[in-house]
Amino acid sequence: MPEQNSVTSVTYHEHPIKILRYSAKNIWLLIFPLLRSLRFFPPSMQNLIEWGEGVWIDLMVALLILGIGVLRWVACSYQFNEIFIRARSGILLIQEREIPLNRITVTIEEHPLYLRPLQAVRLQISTASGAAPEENMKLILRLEDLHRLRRHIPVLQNDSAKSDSHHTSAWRVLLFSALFSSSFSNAVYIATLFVQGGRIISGLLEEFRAQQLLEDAVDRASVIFQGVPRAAIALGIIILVLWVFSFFRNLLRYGRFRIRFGREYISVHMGILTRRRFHLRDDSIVFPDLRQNLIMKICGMVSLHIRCPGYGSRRDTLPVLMPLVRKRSSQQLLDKLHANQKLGGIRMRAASHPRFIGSFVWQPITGLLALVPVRVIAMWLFPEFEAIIHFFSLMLTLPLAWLLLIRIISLFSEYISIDDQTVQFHFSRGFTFHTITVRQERVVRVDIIQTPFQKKYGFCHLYLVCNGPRQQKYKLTALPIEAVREMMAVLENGYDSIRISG
Amino acid sequence: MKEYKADRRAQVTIQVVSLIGTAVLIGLIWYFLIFFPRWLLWTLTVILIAAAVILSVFLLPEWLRRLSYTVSETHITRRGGIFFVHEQIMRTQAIQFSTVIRLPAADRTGMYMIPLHAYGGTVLLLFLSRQDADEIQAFLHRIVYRQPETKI
Repeated sequence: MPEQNSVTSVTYHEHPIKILRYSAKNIWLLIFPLLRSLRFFPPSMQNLIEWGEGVWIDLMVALLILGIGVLRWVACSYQFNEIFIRARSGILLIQEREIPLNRITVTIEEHPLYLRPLQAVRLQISTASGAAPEENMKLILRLEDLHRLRRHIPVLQNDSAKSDSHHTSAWRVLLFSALFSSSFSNAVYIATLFVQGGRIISGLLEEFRAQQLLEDAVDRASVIFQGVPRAAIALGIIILVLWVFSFFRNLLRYGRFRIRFGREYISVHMGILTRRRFHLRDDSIVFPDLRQNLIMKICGMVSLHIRCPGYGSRRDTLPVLMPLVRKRSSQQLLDKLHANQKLGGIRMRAASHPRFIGSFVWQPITGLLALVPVRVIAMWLFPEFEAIIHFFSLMLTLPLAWLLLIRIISLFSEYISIDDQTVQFHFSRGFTFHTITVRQERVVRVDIIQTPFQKKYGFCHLYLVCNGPRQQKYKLTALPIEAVREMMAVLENGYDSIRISG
Repeated sequence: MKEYKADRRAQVTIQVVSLIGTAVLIGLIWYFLIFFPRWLLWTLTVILIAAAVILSVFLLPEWLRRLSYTVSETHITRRGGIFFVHEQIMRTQAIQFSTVIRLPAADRTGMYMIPLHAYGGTVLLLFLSRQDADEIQAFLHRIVYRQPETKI
């Protein structure tokens, strides 16, 4: 029920479902009924009767847990007007957080499957502050209150009449999910689940007889792949299952992807089970980042990611604005983000020099060379595991060879170029190629590092740090120092400095 | 431009809390560590009392005396420190949002705190009186919240 107050804004409470979340924080109080029940162990009719006589204590504890939740829900409220949104929380220690509406950069509406029948929606509000966590305000609202809030917060308005909408076809989302799914990240995810879920998960695995299922699958695969060790087949199956799991997770997250460009705002809708709507202020996007892996590079496809405070900041979410698009069509999207890929006017460019191939390939080469002695030592120490060692060394060789190929391509494609407004750089990080186009004033720090060998030949490594919530360094390898210094002079003082000195 | 100082009532509050905290800690030491030799328990007690006295009688008043905040339309500055002077300056228009934290009975204890969050940094305004906290909030409403952000 909204209440009127003196600052001409109306006070609302969150959706009552939040009571459960607040109550859950005091669930530890259940230790008292549990300790009481232990006194009546082992169970017998007499013990059951005695336990029943004191059951009112357990009910009181349950009521207390729920009561604290209700009290906290009543004490927590939010209000908004044309200028700010304010959330108040706490009973004894009161916190009032105020966010001016004109400072909101990103809002995220989440409509999870379990909240939809309750007409509830999760809302996260972020600013460019970079404060941790990046969601500066998190609320669970009634749907009608969200519609009311929408009228006040410009970034939440859909602006559908004057907007330009793009859909991503189902096959592209499928391809994107396949290309960006990783067995490793999912293994980490599942490991976290194991640690957090503990016995419950292991119980579930026992129930589903996961080990038995794996053994059956290995038996069947052994018939097909004769001569391959069973451990290697088991590992292969585990990797494949993890990848499939990751693939479906990505598919559920990025399915039904739709993007809408308004006059000042961008809306991104995605998700099959949990529907998410991101609303971004387009001037809060620090830069667009075109990402490609090797397959995408060969096929001429790119994935458009962005750096924007609050967008894609969760560990399991990518800051993707367009999952998969042909490289030549990406310009149309980049124009909407005011990031022209083709730099105009006066232009300076510096590219990596092939003489410094060592700076690019030393990591995969070292890995590949180290594999030989590691394999010999392992065979000498554990001769009975020869087949498995052989399999593992092969499994490690493949990604290292892949990385070597990426680094060699990177050697011939890495560059930085600037015009009178923007800086553009293309580089590789891990297995991904990036093309970042950023306005000059958003490059906040530049580091130049020279090895003695580079000093002799006049080359350097260049690290760029851009404005944004988290400091991330982008490394460009083996660039000519003269060209880099000229560019840095332009970044510091503009083009006039070059014209005057020239 | 206006300068704000830490509320003197906050000093009394922290002194009382540290006194009670020290007494409780000494009580706990004598209750739980009774098997330690007497001379060690007395030494611990003296050290705790000395620390509490030095902190609450000498250091705390001096620290609070030097703590000041200057709020202007262009910058917000926090100065403090006893041995090492520390000055934090934040561009007023860079502020993205603020939080007011109120401890129980804050009106009488001067326990209002305002963290101001700007691009990648926070300036914490500690131990304000209610009047000062309200004034700073009103200033933010007038100067920051109603103005469009200066683009970076």
